[in-house]
Amino acid sequence: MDDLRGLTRREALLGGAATLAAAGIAGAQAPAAPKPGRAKSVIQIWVWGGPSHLDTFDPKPEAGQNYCGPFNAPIATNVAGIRINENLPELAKIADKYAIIRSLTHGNNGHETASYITQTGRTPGPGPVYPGAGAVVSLFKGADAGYKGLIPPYIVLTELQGRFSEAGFLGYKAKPFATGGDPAQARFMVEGVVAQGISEQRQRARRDLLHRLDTFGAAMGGDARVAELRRSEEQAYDMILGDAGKVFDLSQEKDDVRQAYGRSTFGQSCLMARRLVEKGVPYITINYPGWDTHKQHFPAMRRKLPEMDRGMAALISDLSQRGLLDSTIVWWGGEFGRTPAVQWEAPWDGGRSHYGQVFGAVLAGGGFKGGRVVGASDARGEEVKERPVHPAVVLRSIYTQLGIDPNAKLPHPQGLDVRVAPATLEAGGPVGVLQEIM
Amino acid sequence: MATKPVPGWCVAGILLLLAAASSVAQQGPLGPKAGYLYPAGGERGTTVQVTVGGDALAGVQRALVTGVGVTATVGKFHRPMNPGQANRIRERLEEAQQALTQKNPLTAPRLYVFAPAAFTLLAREAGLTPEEIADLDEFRRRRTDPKRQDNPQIEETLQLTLQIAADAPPGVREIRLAGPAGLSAPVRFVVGSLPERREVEPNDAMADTCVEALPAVINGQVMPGDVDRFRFAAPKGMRLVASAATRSITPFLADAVPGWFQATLRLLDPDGREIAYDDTSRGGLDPVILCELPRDGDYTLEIRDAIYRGREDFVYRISLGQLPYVTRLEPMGARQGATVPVRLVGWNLPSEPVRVETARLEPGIYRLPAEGAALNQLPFTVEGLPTVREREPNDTARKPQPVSLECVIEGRMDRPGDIDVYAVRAPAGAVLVAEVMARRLGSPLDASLRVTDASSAVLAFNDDWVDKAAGEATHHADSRVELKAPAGGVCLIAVRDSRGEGGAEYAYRLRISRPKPDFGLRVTPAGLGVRAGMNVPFTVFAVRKDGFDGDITLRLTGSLRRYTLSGARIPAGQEKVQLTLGAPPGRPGLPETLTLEGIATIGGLQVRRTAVPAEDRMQAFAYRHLTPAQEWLVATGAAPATIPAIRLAEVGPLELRVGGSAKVKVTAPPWLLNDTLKLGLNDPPAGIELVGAEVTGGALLVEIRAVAGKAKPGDRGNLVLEAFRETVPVGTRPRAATVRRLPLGVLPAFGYEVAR
Repeated sequence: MDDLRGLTRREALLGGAATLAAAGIAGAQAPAAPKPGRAKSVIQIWVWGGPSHLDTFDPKPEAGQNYCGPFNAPIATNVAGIRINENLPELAKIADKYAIIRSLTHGNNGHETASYITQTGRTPGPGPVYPGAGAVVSLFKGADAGYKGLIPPYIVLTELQGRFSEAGFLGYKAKPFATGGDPAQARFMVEGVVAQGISEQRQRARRDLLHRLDTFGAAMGGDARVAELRRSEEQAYDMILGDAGKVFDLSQEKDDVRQAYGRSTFGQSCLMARRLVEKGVPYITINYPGWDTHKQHFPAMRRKLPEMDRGMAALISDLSQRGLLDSTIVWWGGEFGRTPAVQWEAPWDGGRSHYGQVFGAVLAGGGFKGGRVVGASDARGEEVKERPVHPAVVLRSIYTQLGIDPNAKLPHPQGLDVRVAPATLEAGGPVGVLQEIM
Repeated sequence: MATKPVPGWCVAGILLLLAAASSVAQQGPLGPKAGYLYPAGGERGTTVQVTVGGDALAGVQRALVTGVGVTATVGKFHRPMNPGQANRIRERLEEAQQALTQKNPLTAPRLYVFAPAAFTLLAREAGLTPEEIADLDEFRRRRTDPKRQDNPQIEETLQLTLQIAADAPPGVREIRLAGPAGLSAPVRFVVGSLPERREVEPNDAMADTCVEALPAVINGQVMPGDVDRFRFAAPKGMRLVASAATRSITPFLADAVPGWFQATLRLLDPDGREIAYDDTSRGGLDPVILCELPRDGDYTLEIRDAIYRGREDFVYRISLGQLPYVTRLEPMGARQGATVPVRLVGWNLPSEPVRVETARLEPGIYRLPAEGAALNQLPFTVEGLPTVREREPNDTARKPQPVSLECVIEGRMDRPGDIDVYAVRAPAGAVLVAEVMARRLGSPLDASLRVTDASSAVLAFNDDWVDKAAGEATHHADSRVELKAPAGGVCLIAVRDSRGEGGAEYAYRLRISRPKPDFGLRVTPAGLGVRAGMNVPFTVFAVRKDGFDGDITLRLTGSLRRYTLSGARIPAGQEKVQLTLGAPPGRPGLPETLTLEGIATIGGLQVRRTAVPAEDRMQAFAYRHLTPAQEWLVATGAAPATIPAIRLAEVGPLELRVGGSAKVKVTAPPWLLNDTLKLGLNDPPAGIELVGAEVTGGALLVEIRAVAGKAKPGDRGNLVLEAFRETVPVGTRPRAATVRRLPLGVLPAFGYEVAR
C-alpha cells in the first residue's frame, strides 16, 4: 500500500523535500539539462471522474436532446466561432486566454487505466510503472533545477487520487504532498502544518520537550547525519511556525479576492494554487471530485459547472493580472469524457457513462496560445473528426513549454532506459506536440 | 422546417390533449421502475407484506404476478423527503420558534439545540404532522449516515400485500407494477414451502435468534458494511444445507462492481470456529454450505457481501436445514425420444433415480428435479443426437477414444490435470462442430477445446465461447469450435479444464457433429405499455446457431392477433431488429400475455421458434445481458381523446447508399405540419441518422442518411420514427434550456437497406 500513499508530514518535511532528487533516486542518472522554457509552473485541474465533453467545452446542441440533454443553448465566447456550455459564462469571457482540445482520444473507459494514460502518456503494461506529469515536473523543476522552497515541489489539493500512483518508479520521494483539509473552511487545516486545536505556543513547548528528551541527538551533535536531521527539523518547524507555512493561510487574501474565486472547496483550491505558484511551487494538482456522473448527470452539472466556471475563470484571470499566466500552465481535464448519448433509463435517469473514444482538455498560459481550438469531434461527439490527439501529445507539449526535454532519460532504479514521454504512439507514428498552440 | 404561427390558446389546448395522449405511448422513463422486493419470497398458505423499492411508483395501480395462486394488492406509497421539502419544514420550524419567542423569549425552545422536548414543542407549534416528523427523521438519518449513497432508482417504496394460496405451486414468480405510464420490468419472488423468517437488526455482533426451528428460510437485506449473523440450534450429524439466494433473485446491479450482490456464507461451530465457508457455488451464482454438523449445539451462520457493500436491493433468502440439495445430475442430458434414469447427486436426496421421458420434448434445456422436490434445480439437456459415454483411458492423442461424427459424449474431468481426447473421422473438407456444454448445465468445469490432426497440427482452439442465449452468465466458460476436417479426415479433439481442475462434479457433454443451423429469439423489453390505437417499439434479438444466417419472419401467435407488428422480419445476417407493436383501438383491458414466433427456412424445412421474453439488463456500468423473463406482457392504456393522424405515407424499404441519403414521406394534420412537428429516430442502428425534415406538398419529407465510415454496405433492418413537439411551459421564460419535448407517438417501423 505504500505506493498509494502521499508524502506524510514526516516524509515531506522532516525528510527534507529539498533533497528529492538527490536522495530519491540514489545512483540514478541525473536528468538531462533542460532547455529554457516559458513556463515555470503547472496547475493541473484534475476533473476527477471524467467530465462530459459535450457539457463543457464541446457542446452539441444540434445533436438533439438525447445527446445534449437540457444543455441545448451554448454561449458564445469572446473568441468568434468558439462556444461553450451555457453554464460557463465567466470562462466564455476569457476564451482568448485558453486553448480547447476537442479531439483527445485513448479509447479506454476504465478510471484507473485512463487516469494512467492521461497522466503518463503510456498504456499500463508489464513494464515499468511510469510517473505522472507532476512527479516528472517536480523531478526536473525541483532541487536540482534550483528550487529552494521549503514547500514540496509537487502539491496536491487536497486529497490524492488513490487510483493512480503519481510517482511511479520514481518512488515515494517523488510523491506529492497532499494537503488534506478544506481551503473553504475558516482555517485551512493543512496536514502536518496546521493542526486543529494546537496553538503555536503549545507547538513550541512540544518541540522543547522533544529536544530535552533527545539525549541521543545531544550526544551525537557533531555527526553529519544528525546535523542533517536537525536542519530538516528546522525547515519543518519553519513550515509550521515560520513564514513558509503562511502560504496556506488564505485569510491573508482580501475578501473580494476570495469571493471572486467562489467560496467552494474548488474555488479556494484555485486561489491556493495561485498562492503556491507565487511561491515558486512547480506543480500543483487540484483534484476536483464529483464528475463521475453516472446518475442524474444534469442536476449534478447544474451544481458543478457554475462552481468550476467561477473558480477556474478567476484563477486564469488572476494569474493573468499578476503577470503569472505566461509562466504558469493551467491544464484542465480528466481521465476521459462521458458518453455522448444520454442514458435516460433507470438507474441512470439521465446519466452519462465513461467515454475514452473522444474527449476534451483545456490548456491556458505557459506559452500556450489562447483563443484556439485543436481538433474536432463529430456531430454527436462520438468520434474524433479531425486531428486525433493522444494524451502523450499533451504531455510532450507541457514538458516542452516547461523546458523539459521529453526525450530526456528518467532515473530508473534498475537503470532501464526510460524517457520522460513516449516518442512514438503505440498505434505507430511520432507523438509530436500541439504545435498549433505553441 | 417551415413554420406558421398558430393561436396560443389553440396550441396549448391541443398540446395538453396530446401530452396526455402520448404519455404512455411506450415504456420509457415515465413508467414505474421496480428495483427490489423485500422479502423476496413467502410461504404457501400465508399473506406476506412486501416492500417494493423503486422509482416512479406513485401512480402504480396494480401488481401483476406470474403463475397461479398468488394475488397482489397495492398498498401505501412512500417517497422520502427531498432537501427542498426538508428546507421548507425547517423554515416552518424557524417561524414557529419566532412565534414562540415573541410570546415568551425566556421559555421559547431553540431549534438548533438538540433537545427532543424542544423539537416536539416547535413541531406542534409549526403544525407538523406525525408523517412529516417521521419523514424528517428519516431524511436526517439518511443524510447523516456516512456509508449511505443516494440511489434515486430505489428510494421510493410501495407496500404490496401478497396472498399465497396453500396450493400455489412452489417456485419463482415475477412481479411487475402497472401504472398509467406503463409496466415495470419484472422482479422475482419465490413461493416456498418452509416457514419464513426476517432478520432483526442489529445482528452484526450479536447473532439474530429469529430461527427458532429448522428448517426455515431467512429473509434479509445487507446494507453498507453490514454482516448479518443468525444463531440456531442443531444436532450432531445433521447434514445441514445453507443455500443463499441472491443473484438468483436479483441477477444484476447496473451501478455496482461486481455487478451483483456477491454474497459470502460462513458457518461457525458452537465455539465460534469457522467450519464451513462458500462465496460462490460451483462456479455459478449463489453460495451454498453443505456441512455435516460435528456436535450438538448452537451454530452461527453469517452472510455479507464479499467486499462489504450493501444497500436495500442487496436482498437475500437463506434456506437452512437438513434440506434436499442437488449438486449434479448423472447424466446431464439425453437423446430426444429416450427414457433415461437420472441420478440426483447431492445432499439429503432420495437414492432412487428419476426417470426422465424425453419422447415429447423438443431439443433444449430443461430443469430437474421437479419444482419443489429439492431446494434447487439443475439444467438437463435434450438433444437430437445419440449419447456416448466417455471411456478412460483417453488422456493422450496416442490413446484417443474413437467416436463417430454426430454424437454427444457424456464425459468428466475425473481428476485435476485430466485430458479427454476423442478421435473422430470426417470427410476431408467437411465442416464439423465441437461444442462443450458444462457450465451451462451447472458443472464447475471451465472447458477448453483443442483440435489437432494426426500430425499434431492445431486445427482449432477455443477457451470461452459466448452463448448469447445464456443471458445470466457472466463467465461463458464453455467452448465451441467449428472447423474443416483435414485431409485424411481424422480430428483429435481434446477437452480439458483451463485451470487444470477436475473431480466428480467436473462433467460435460461434448457435441461432435456437422453444423446444425438453428436460431433462438429474445424479445425485449418483457413488458410493453402502449395506448390503444398507437404503436410501441421493441427489439428482437436473433441467437443464430451453427452458421444459420437467413431471414427470420416474426409473427404474433395465440388469440391476440388484433395487435399488429410492423417491420416483422430479422433480415439475413442481422442479429437484432427494432420493430413496433400496434395496439388495437378501443377500450383497454387488463395486461395481456403475447407470444412472438420466428419462422425461418433451414435446409428446405420451415423452422419455428418461440421468442423468449427478456430484459436487456446492465451490470457493472457496462456489460449487458438478456435475462429471461416468464411472460411477454402488454398493458394497453386508454386511447387518447385525440390521436394525431401522423402517418408514414410510403411504407417500404428505404434504399440508402453509404454516405448518401433518402427521404421518407410523413403526413400529418396541416396545423401540426405547419407548426413545430418534429421527428426523430428511435434507437437508430449504427451509421444511420436523421438529417432533417422539410414541409413539401402538404407532407413532411424526412431525410435519413447512411453515414460514411459507420454504415456498411449490406446493413439492413428497421427504422422507427417518433413524432414530438417542443414547447416552452406556460409561465417560463422562452430560453432554449426550458424547451420541453411532448411526444406525439411512434410511427410503424419500416425497413431500410444500405446498398452493397
